[in-house]
Amino acid sequence: MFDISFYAVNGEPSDCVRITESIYEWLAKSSFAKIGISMDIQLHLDGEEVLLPVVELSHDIRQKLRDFFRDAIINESGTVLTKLGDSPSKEEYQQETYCMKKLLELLKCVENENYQYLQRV
Amino acid sequence: MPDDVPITDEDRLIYQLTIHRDLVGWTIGKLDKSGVIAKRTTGNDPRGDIVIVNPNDASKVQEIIGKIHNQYNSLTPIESQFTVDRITTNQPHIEIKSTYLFGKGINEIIETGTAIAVVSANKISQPGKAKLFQAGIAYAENIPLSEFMDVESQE
Repeated sequence: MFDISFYAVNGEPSDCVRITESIYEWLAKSSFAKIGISMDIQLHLDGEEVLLPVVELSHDIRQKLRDFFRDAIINESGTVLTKLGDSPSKEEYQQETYCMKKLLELLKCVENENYQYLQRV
Repeated sequence: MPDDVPITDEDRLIYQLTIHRDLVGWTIGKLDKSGVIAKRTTGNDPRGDIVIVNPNDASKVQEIIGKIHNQYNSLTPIESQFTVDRITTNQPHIEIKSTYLFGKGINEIIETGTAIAVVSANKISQPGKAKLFQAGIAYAENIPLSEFMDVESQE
């Protein structure tokens, strides 16, 4: 599984969204991978100093990421509603809505201005 | 990837995918050599990257992962006495990581209730390892890329 992580200026507070290889692969091949450039920055996490490649969430980058995830959620919701039909089982519901839930988690983190950096690699 | 070649973030994301896929294959190969049948999960399976086909193999898997960890890392006092109650699940899975693992990332693995081990090509934070230990989840960190890259054929 992969983590897309978000950090405040000094590292903490932080958050991460755990995603499957399938979603990460989709993100890697989408315009998400073209928004911003990762640069190594020293952060303080879990009481440790670590050097991590992160994208700075400047106003412009944050806006582009927000637009990306909003568009992705709209597209995904259409697909999900079509697949679910009128009476999905619990398993079908969980399986089909998984990606949309993750996209919503990512959008929330992107929109949270407490987070200054995004780590995707 | 040579250091002098400029690479884009797109390249780096694809590279992470390659590391992850190869480490999954390498881990499955290691388990297979010990007689444990394990398979890659498919689609959006939130339980983990590798499923252990026979749940009775779970403790054997944890011992193997513990040995792999010891092979590439010096033992800390807590790890030298890995006698904690192991997690029990009828759907044992292994989580594969390629980036620094800490904080919420650790909690999410524990909360699956199905993860019995974590194998990472990167570092796991010290508090993170302590949490995994307390949760009865085995781990192997810092697996060198040279050990597993391009080993798909071993599966």
